[in-house]
Amino acid sequence: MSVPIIIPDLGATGGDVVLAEWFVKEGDRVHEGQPLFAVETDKAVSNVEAFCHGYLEHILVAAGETVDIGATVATLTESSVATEMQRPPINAESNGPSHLELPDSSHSGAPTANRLHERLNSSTVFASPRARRVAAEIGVDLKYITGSGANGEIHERDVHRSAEQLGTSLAGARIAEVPQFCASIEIDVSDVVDLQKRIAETSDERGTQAVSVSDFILAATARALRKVPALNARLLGDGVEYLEDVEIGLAIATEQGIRIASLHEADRLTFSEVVSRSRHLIKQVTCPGLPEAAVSGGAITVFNPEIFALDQFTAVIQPSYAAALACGAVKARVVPRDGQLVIRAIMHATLSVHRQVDDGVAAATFLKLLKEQLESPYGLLMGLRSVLS
Amino acid sequence: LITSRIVNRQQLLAIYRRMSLIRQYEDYLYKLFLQGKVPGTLHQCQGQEAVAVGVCENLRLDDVIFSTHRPVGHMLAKGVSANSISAEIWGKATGCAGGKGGQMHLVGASVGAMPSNAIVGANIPIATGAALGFLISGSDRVAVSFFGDGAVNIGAFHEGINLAAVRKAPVVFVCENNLYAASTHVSLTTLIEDLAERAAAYGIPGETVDGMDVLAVYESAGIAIARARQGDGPTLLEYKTYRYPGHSRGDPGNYRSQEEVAHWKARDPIDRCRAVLTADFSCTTEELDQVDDECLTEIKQSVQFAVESPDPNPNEIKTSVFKDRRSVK
Repeated sequence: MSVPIIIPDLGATGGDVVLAEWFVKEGDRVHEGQPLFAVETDKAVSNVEAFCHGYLEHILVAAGETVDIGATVATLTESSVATEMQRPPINAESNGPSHLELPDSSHSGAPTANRLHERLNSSTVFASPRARRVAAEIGVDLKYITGSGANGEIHERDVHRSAEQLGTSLAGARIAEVPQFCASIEIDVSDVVDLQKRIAETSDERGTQAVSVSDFILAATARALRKVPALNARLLGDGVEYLEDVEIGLAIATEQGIRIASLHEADRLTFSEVVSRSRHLIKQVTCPGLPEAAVSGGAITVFNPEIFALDQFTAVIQPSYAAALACGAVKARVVPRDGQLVIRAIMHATLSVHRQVDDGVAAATFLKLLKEQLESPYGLLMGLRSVLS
Repeated sequence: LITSRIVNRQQLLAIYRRMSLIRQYEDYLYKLFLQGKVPGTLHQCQGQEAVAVGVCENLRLDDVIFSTHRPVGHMLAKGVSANSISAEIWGKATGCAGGKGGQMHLVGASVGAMPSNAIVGANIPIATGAALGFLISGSDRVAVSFFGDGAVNIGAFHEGINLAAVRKAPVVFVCENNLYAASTHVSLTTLIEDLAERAAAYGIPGETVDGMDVLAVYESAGIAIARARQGDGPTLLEYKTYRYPGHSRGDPGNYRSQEEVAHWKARDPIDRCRAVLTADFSCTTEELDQVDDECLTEIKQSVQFAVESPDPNPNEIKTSVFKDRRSVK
């Protein structure tokens, strides 16, 4: 006869219980006390052991499926299926399954496993409960994430990294739910353009790198963020984590869509380091075959798609980020200056901010600082590090 | 023979039977738990049997013990019936607490097992209070407080032991140091290696003993209990032991290495007791297996008794919960 193997009541405090992994397969001989499968609850991953000797008859629930407490996930027989007729029962006298039969007093009618998590059903995925929750929220399939933990276990940071790499398409599900507001400012970047031209002139002679307006925006963002700590944050679950270093997500347009690469410790970089690092990131993201760009959840993403010549636009906030800065193309505009009409290089910057980190003051302060930096960009050429020291 | 100085054959066989009963009871409950047949939670004590049995074998029926959230071993060792324990775990009217207590709140007042207290360290001053009661009433009864390594940094530990020390209360403080307070290793919370050193702070004797050797436990507890009974005051005993399973159901115990678990299982108190019985007292394997079988039969019958017992009467929900006001003097 066969006996059911169930999900015991492991004392989870709520939420889903997932059958994480099978250690045995159908037909295997199992011994009392041998781990049969792993169960993941909101508390921990636990191994469930066989309560008697026997052979695993049928596996009814595949790894990765969500199960109810008390659900039957497999059956055990006293004898091997193949040799059922000849083989004597294992330890029929003392340890056979039938000896443990008792009226079922605690669970009336074991529920069968439900299949809520279809997307997890084909292969075993090791992931922390928190990583699973975040992945479900963002809508990222754990199967496609490479874990950085022990034995490849997926942690929350891996989910965020993956979400960033996959770009806005997958983040879309979450974007609709992000409570955000936007603030815009017009910035006169004539001096940036002028400086950029002069650097370009000297680079030809000295072989140094050409710089772009984006580089100035990144450097100015790093400084402004350093002075507005309220925005230098990221969202973790329902909470806000304030960051020590300034991490900027650089939005890079690729054929597959927008990718986000992270500029680490951006506030500690010299201007030339900002230039070389961002070039390197763009190369990593756009050229397949190179090692993947290092990415992790930062505070702010910067979008500056100059090639599209947009006047101004609003950027979506990436998962876990606090804000997104969208910079339009630099265009020549006629503006009043000192009672006269002059032609200046104008750019519109729009900041989208998560409502959870700011009610508006920080965003306004940030944009004001950004404007000041870019309208008088010479200080940006000095690294922030040297300014501080 | 060294062992015969401590116990005779009959005594050691009785000790073996108790330890076998506890081990097999816990193992059997665990198997039923895996089948979803045990209501409520489980805090199991496999590996710690020698402490419960070695201490309680020295006690008289009218001596009292105070236990913890892991009480099954202590209760069986003090003589509480398997039937009343099983029925309590199954929440039945025939349970030792009428089905109101569950696994963490076992009791057997008629055999001196006071209601177990799941609050860490809480029973220490209560045991002191019971012992002071014995002292004041001129009785020679003794109280024993069982607690884990997690209790030694609880305020009640200090208060309870200090008061017992200054009043020379007839109580023995038994620390079962199984190295982990739930999942926290003792070295993360306490800098001294031997917790019995704390005794010096209270001016009482303290001794650290191998808690996996039931004869060592029996001998050391016997001395401490005799001291208490003679009016010489309390002793702090620390038994180095280990619980094989996790803290409770659903605790995979992943904070411990497999090597560590194997190290302690190699010193299994029941295996060692069997070895002494066969080597020093010429017991046969068959004889000891028969003891095991008898214990398992008793255990299975107790669970059958529990399952078949009636549920508590809802009208008696307040019975034994509040003291009847009229009886308060």
